[in-house]
Amino acid sequence: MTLSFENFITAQEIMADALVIINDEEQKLFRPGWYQRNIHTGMKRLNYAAPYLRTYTDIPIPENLIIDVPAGVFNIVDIFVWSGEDCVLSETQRVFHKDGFFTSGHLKGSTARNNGQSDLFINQYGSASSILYYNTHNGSIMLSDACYGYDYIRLVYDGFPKSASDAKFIPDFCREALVGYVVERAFFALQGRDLAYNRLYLTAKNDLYVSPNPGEPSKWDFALRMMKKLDKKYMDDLAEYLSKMAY
Amino acid sequence: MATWRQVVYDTWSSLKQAFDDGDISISHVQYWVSVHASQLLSQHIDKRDSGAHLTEFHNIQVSTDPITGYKYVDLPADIFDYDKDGGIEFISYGVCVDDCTPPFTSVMFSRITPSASRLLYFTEEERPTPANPYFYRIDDRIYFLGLECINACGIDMAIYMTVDPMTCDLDDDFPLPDELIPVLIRRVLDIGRFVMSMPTDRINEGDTTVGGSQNIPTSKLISVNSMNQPSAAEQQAMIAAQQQQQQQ
Repeated sequence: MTLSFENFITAQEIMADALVIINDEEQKLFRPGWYQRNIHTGMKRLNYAAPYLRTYTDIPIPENLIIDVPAGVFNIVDIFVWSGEDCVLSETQRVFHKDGFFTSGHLKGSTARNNGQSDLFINQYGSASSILYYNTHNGSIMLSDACYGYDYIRLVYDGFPKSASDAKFIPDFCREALVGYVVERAFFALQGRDLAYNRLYLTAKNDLYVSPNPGEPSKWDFALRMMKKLDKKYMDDLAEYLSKMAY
Repeated sequence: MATWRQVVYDTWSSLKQAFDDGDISISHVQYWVSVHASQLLSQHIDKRDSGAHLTEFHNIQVSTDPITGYKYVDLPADIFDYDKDGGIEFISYGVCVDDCTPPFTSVMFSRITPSASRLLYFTEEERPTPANPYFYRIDDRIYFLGLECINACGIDMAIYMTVDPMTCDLDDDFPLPDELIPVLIRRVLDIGRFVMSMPTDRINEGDTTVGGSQNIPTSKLISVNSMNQPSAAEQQAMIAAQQQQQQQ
């Protein structure tokens, strides 16, 4: 999905709408951090279902070839290694996943079900000794010895930005869904203080998840659809690419 | 707007005690007026969302407890003890954080209790920080969470103050809306009337002595050892005179 930076809004804008509906402009029913956390939770739910933030990061390859997965990453899309400077990349290579590969570092050996044997999958990409591969374990990325000598690893991933109330990270079309989500969570929590809030909770829940008219999506579904649907060129190119079976 | 003098003297004169030997003094009336004004003002603020009775204090210096190291300020005045420390409308930094906007629009201190504050440290969004500070009240002190690692110079605070019964200047404006003054005067008059309706409690009639007040001698008691003891004839004459009085 491609959006201009101007099409993103902050968590504060969601709060401004939600607080009026909840009648808590002075933020005395719930603390400001509570609202902020629920906005991020709602955005994460949408993001897990329809990732909208695909980005990359370059990490220097350490001596032991074990890298911590950066914060916010929840779905690795691709991994490359490269050498050179930031402005001029060279020796770019793709890194493949090898199932069950575990190592404690460079030249310290490794284990895998097909360790030392020809790998049916990665053998298609070159000789066994030159294949670059990785595995993830406990929040770390373990690289094979063949990756030693490269300067950087480029991680392409679906991720989530670090939470900050004044950072623009919410697509504008998610506004209604997130306002509805925060309102629904607030009334749900208020039921614990007074059961009279039950009616408001049910109203808020219907408003968020139930279609207002036949054929129209609910606020939540609308946000999900938009996150999946936008970027027409990407969708068109993908369709053409798949139709030519050139992959 | 009425002044303290108008309200107090009006009430005092209505009680008909405005003379030197009156049982109810002017200071007495002033105390009653201030106490009842506090009660009425408390109800008034609770019912109406208004800033008419909000008092703001600027640049209150933050102190550090020498024993615990906690940051705190003392309340600048007595406040109404509303639910969830509602007597404190807001606390904010005393300096502008953003451009041109008042400090209280930038960073507000959220209210918490000491026992609930542990939860704040469980999540990143709610963790107390200088950008997301909290306050809690113990007695007349306001303690802060999130300011531990910075030197906060001064803070701004807006509170709902009670009516000070020690107000000395009667020419100050009376802190109650005019529409509530008749209610206040009526209440104070009721108290005054109640006090003045119990005069018997203030006179010692000796009712607690054995046999009641009838046994209290009405004539002068004379000691048998007195140097001025009357003769036997004089005593008989006195007794006869008393008996005659009783018969009459």
